[in-house]
Amino acid sequence: MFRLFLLFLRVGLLSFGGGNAAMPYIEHEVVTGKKWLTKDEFYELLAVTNSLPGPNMIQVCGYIGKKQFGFLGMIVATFSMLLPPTFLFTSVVYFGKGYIDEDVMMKLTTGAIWFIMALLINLTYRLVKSSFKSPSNNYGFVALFIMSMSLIMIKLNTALVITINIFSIFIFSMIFNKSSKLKFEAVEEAEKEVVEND
Amino acid sequence: MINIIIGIMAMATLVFGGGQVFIPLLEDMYVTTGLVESEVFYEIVGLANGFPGPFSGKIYTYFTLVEYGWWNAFWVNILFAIPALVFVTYAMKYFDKLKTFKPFTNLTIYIRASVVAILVYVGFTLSKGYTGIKGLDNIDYKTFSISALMITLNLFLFKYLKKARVLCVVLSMAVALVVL
Repeated sequence: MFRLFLLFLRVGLLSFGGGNAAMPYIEHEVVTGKKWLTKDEFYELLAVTNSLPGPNMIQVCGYIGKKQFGFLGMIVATFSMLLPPTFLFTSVVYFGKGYIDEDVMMKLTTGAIWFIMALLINLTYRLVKSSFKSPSNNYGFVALFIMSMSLIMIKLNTALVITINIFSIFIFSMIFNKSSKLKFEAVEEAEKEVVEND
Repeated sequence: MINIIIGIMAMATLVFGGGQVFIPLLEDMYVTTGLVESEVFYEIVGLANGFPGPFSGKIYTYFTLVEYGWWNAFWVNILFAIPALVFVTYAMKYFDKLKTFKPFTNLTIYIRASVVAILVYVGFTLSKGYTGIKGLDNIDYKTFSISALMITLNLFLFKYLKKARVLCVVLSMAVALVVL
């Protein structure tokens, strides 16, 4: 259990750039290092967590913890990854912000935003690439993208935009009965390729 | 605090894609409600990328601390994690059945379209304040050129600094301090 705690503490304290950037490091530690999961199990876990709403880093860490040590392992893995870096950042900024000049803060923020924009472009490219690889998804993807952009541009709350999309997809799925397993496996393969090349 | 709780639950149960996709929801929770100014919000968003750990966790924890104290800042993390853990536990258990459930598989494929739309929107919002583009007829060309160069450089470095992306953040911040 202590090894689990240390592993996910390291994951939390060494992962920069969010969940997607942390996945290769988690794979290296859990699959190659500790052998807690096989490569196939890890990619299946990635495919599932990328299909679910919410923070995928918490889902991945929580699942690995649960697989090793049950419910307690899930709690230890999740909160050892989540709490230390979160409170480290919060404490440093909360106590240190007053000592930094406003102009310097603005410049640091600008530099960080350049990094975020590169991350956004990278993530968008990966999402589009993995979606367009699967058969007959393209028109639906473009249509939903246009609908989402339109709703966002009229300043609708983001959660509402996503909810409307979810309902649209469910209703569309119920009306048009087409085979789904093939499409999902194609997406899984595409995700695997994107993560391996990352 | 009720708004924060509702926002946290919405993020944990509705938002696909993680990380930067949470930015608009976080903005709705803290900026639109008037708790935090937009400049301060984006300052913290920027700084959050210079630190390790889950991106959204740092932001909501900081603002909840500032407005509601340490104890509430701790509890929102618990609140944020619970739905995620419940989802993954049941999804992994019933994954083989879910793979053949048409609405679920279509959701996993097509919801990416709305995630991409949110990412594009976040990109446009960030570009307005921090890349020299203040309006269609008001562009600071020096800042714009440097921003374009640095974003391109970051994209190039992502390939070669996969395990050391913090260097990309440090480099970008250093260039911004020196050149701007």
